[in-house]
Amino acid sequence: MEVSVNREGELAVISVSGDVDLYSSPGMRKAITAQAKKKVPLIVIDLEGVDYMDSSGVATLVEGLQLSGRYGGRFRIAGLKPSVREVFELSRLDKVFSIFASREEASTAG
Amino acid sequence: MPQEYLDLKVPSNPKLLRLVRRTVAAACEVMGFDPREINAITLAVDESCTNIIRHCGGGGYHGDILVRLRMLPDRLVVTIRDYGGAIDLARLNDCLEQHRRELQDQRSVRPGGLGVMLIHSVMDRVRYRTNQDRGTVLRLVKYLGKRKGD
Repeated sequence: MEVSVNREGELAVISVSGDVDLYSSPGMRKAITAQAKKKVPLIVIDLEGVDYMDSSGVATLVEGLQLSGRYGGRFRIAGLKPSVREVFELSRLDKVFSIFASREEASTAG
Repeated sequence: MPQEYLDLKVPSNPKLLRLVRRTVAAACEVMGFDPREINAITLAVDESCTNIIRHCGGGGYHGDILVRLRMLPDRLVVTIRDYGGAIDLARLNDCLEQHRRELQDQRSVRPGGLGVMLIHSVMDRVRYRTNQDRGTVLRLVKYLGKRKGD
C-alpha cells in the first residue's frame, strides 16, 4: 500500500493505493491523523487506487471521520471501486460517510 | 467422490494476509463463484485470520494459522484453525450485538466487531469450535449460486 498527501490551503487529499488490511492500515491511519491534528478543514481520502479493503481500513476511516468531526472539519472519501464499496455496504457504513465519485468532486463540492 | 481441497499453513503474520487472500480468491474462481462472491469470501477469510492475529492469546498469537479450503460440488467449506487457546464465544456474540447497536445510532465502530459482523454477513454458515488445549476451529460455508438470505 502507498499513501501520498497533497495539501492545498484548506484541503488535504490523501491518496491511497494497493490493499488496505491489518498490515497496511496503520500507514493510512498515520496520514489521516496527521492532517486531523492540523485541523485541516476538508480531508479527502482518494481510494481510486485501492482494490481491497478490510474492516481495519474501514475502522481507520471511521476514526478519521470522528477526529475531523471534533473540530468541525469535513471528511470525505472518493473513487471507491465496486469491491471496496461493497465492504462499506456490508458494514452498513455507506450512509455514514460522504462518498464521492472522484477526488475532484469531493474536493470542490459544497 | 474424490476430495478437492487445498491446505495453507501460514505464520500469524499480518504481512502474509495478502498471500492467503490471493489463494482463497483463486480457489473461488476455479469453483465458479462470481467476482462479487469471490471478494466477499476472500474478505470473510481475511477477517477471520485478522481476528486470530489480533486477539488470540491476549496480546497476539504467534503460532501458525491453518486454512483448509474444501471445494465441494455445491459449496466451499473453509476451516480456519489456530492454537491460541479458547475464545470466549459469549463475548464474541456480545461483541457482534454491540456492534449492530453501535451501527444503529452511528456511534464509534470498533474494528473487531466490524470484522465479525462482515464474516456473518457474507457467509451462509459460520460455526466456532473452541477449546483451551486444541485451540479454535472456525468453519465457514458458502454455497455456489445461492444468494444470501435465499
